[in-house]
Amino acid sequence: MKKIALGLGLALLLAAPTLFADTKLTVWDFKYGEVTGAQVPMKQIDALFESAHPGVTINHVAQPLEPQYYQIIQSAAAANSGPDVAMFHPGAREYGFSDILVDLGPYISDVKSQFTTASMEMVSIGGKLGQPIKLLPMTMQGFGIYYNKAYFKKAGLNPNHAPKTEKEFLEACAKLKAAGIVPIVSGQTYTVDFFLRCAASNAFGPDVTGLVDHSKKFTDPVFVESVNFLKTLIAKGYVEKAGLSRPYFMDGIDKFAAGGGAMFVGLLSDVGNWKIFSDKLGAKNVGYFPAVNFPDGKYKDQQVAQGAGIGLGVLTWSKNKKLAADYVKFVTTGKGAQIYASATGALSPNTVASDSNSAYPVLKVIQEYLKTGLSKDYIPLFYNGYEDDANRLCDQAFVTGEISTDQFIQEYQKLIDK
Amino acid sequence: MHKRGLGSDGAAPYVLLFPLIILLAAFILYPVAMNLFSSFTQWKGYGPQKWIGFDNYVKMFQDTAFWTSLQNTLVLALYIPIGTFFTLLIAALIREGIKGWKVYRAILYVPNLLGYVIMGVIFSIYLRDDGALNVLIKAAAGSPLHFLIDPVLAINTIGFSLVVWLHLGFGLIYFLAAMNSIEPSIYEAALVDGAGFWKTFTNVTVPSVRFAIEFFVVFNFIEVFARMFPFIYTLTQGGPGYSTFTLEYGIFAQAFQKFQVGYASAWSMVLFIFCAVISTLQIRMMRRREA
Repeated sequence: MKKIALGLGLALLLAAPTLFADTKLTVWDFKYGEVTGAQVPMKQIDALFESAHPGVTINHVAQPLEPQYYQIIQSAAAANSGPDVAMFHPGAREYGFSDILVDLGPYISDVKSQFTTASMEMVSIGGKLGQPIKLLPMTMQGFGIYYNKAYFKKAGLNPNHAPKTEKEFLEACAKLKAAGIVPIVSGQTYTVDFFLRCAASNAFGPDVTGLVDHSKKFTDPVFVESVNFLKTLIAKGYVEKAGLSRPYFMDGIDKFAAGGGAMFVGLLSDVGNWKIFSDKLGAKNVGYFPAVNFPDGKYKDQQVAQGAGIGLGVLTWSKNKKLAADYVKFVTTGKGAQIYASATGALSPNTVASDSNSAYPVLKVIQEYLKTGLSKDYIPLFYNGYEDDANRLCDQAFVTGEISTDQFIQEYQKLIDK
Repeated sequence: MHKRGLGSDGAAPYVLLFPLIILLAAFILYPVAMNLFSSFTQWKGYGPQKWIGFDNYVKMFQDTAFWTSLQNTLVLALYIPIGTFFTLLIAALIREGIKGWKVYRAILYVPNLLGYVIMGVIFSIYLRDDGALNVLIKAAAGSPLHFLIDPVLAINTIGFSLVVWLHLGFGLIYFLAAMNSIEPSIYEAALVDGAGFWKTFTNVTVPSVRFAIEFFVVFNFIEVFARMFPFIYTLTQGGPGYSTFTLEYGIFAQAFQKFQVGYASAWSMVLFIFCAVISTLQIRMMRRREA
């Protein structure tokens, strides 16, 4: 009997590597297509995970960006089959697909405290702490205005003084234009969209969630002023009109990074961020401020932010949920989080991940704003596809002029009253 | 009285028809029936469907995006007679035997080889404000034409580039083939009677290729209603605003951007009715010709 047991034990031991070798974890990632960008650190992270988990192979699949990405996710959901782990945008996108995402609560109790409260709030269903957590955040996100200091100097402006008030901003644009410099480089309607998201922080500050419970409205005088201000900027030719007809948002980023203009309404993580601009324009040449402050705006120098910009979740059909959750934790904490943040310029919502990008002066500026005043971004607070509806209205008001700014405000409000 | 059916021909016709019936049922009847069912439900493309009666239809008829999409689709349909006339005229000119006509024909057919997605991407770069075409326009006129950000220009740009220009190659080949079947003696008689190009075109060519024209018109209608999506998606994404947002694009936006597949199914039923009417007209035309 002993011999049989020993034999069986030996056979199992010999078969073990073969059994583990079959464990393949499939990851869908809409950033992985950036061959010289996000793919580089992800390959490193995958290799580290594989070496820490012998017999496990990561099948990392590059998927297209949204909106196509979520159509693929929708197909996978219809087939009830697909990846073990997938990347999602926290907020409306995540909540819309919450029924195919595993509650990570039981798997993340050891690391949960490492993440900022804002990020945990955003990845919790409905944006409410205490609700199921379906993603772990890889980045935090936000929007703000980057400027090219050399161009400011050339136009006779103080490069170390950001034009943060309405008056200063208009004067800066006028001087830049007079000097033959494009004041604001644009990238499709996203420039309008991002500008308004920044402006909302000046109007609503931390109370922006009031838009959800209708205690706040877009008819707020400061928000209305910002809408009219943006219209003025376009009318005066300060916003590059050609950029609004470019087919890709990335073209606007590339143009600003190549010195095509003085200012750009960019992001804090992912694409069009401080690192990309600093690497291209020179680290000391990039200035930043989070929004234009309007005279009646109650909240000055507010940084609009999403606690979580992108995150990873485990799909309900995965046969290796525990392993998949381990992978999600591996990417978003410890060395994984550090590798990703330092390579891509993404701001990590993981407070333990050390920051190796502190050499960038503009990052220090951003971090100061993040410490002093945070305002939530309103776009992810609403329904799946809200940004598309909102951007079509932005087009009609700011690009084609089909509707007035008053009509825009009314329609913009109607979208969230639905 | 001769009775048709199993008695006279045996089971052979049914056996021969069986594969086609299976294919029709699987790829036409079943999807249409499922779509009709979905249009009465709240559904996001997966998971359970919730029966909501006519709510989707009520919502659709109250949705300004739906009416805008219909209007845009009809604007594009107005380009069909222009495109048909233009194509027919060029085919007639080429048939006259202008020098190097084979080269022109080949060049004009190239867009058909590339397909809508590639052409849409090329046009999105070519037509933007700082694109190649506007470089020339700016040099000549001083300011660019906002092909992609002026709402009136945007829908007309799609109408001209897709309905007229992109279909030109196929139309030319098709009309030239039809014109080749016209008896040369008819043209000779017209020549003897002193008819010039225009009279020959209107009194000989057009009546002789009437069936080909009817087919081309029906083909264009189906293209406008149900096959423009790849071009619009890659060129304007239905924008700016809703200016190139067609019925077909609206179905995509509701189903795959907002994940309201039940609601999109209601839009699809409207498209289905349009396509069914067009197809019925085509079948009637074919029957008339056979008679």
